[in-house]
Amino acid sequence: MITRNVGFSLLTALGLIAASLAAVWASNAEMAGPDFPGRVSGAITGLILAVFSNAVAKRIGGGETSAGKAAAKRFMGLALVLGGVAYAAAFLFAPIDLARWIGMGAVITALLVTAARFWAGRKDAQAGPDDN
Amino acid sequence: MNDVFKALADPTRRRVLQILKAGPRPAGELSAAFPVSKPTMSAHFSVLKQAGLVTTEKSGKSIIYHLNVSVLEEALLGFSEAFGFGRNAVDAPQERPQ
Repeated sequence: MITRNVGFSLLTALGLIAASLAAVWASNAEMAGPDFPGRVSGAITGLILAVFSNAVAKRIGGGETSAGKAAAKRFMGLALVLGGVAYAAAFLFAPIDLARWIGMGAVITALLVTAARFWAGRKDAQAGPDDN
Repeated sequence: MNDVFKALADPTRRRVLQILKAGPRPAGELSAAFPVSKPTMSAHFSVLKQAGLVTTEKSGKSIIYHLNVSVLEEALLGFSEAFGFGRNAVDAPQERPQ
């Protein structure tokens, strides 16, 4: 399982590098605009975040005895997937000067929302032991 | 992924996953929530486990089932619930074997 995951991660990294090189080549050959390589690498980075976040609830830990903790993990996965998709969409559609800010804003928002969800879940668990 | 679609195609299995969203449950408690025989429920659990949608933990004599879904699988579960795939199968009267 670990070998398979490492293999997938290496393939993803190679794909990102290859796509970025191809985008730079296309831009140098004047087949695409000067902002094209930045857009391609940004979009792929966002999609990688979304793909890896998809399985985050499955990969992190396991056998949660508390429904609240399991729900918080699923929420974290959803927030990060949406953050990754928003990051990719920003690089694909927003003006390139704004794309970084919009994309990072989306990812940071996802992280903050996740942290808030965990914090709220912890507070609920402290308030009462019955979180089922 | 085929296993996941197969698992989500059945309304009983989807209901099991919905119940597990509220927290881990013992196999007996899950079986009691459905008007089907224990071997049938056992087959449903087996399909869910094979698809990787649930994990199990042994606690004494009972087996505790935990929900183990990715974001995409949870979205697929929501879609199949919303569109009611295979709903006719569960609406049909089912008798518990004596």
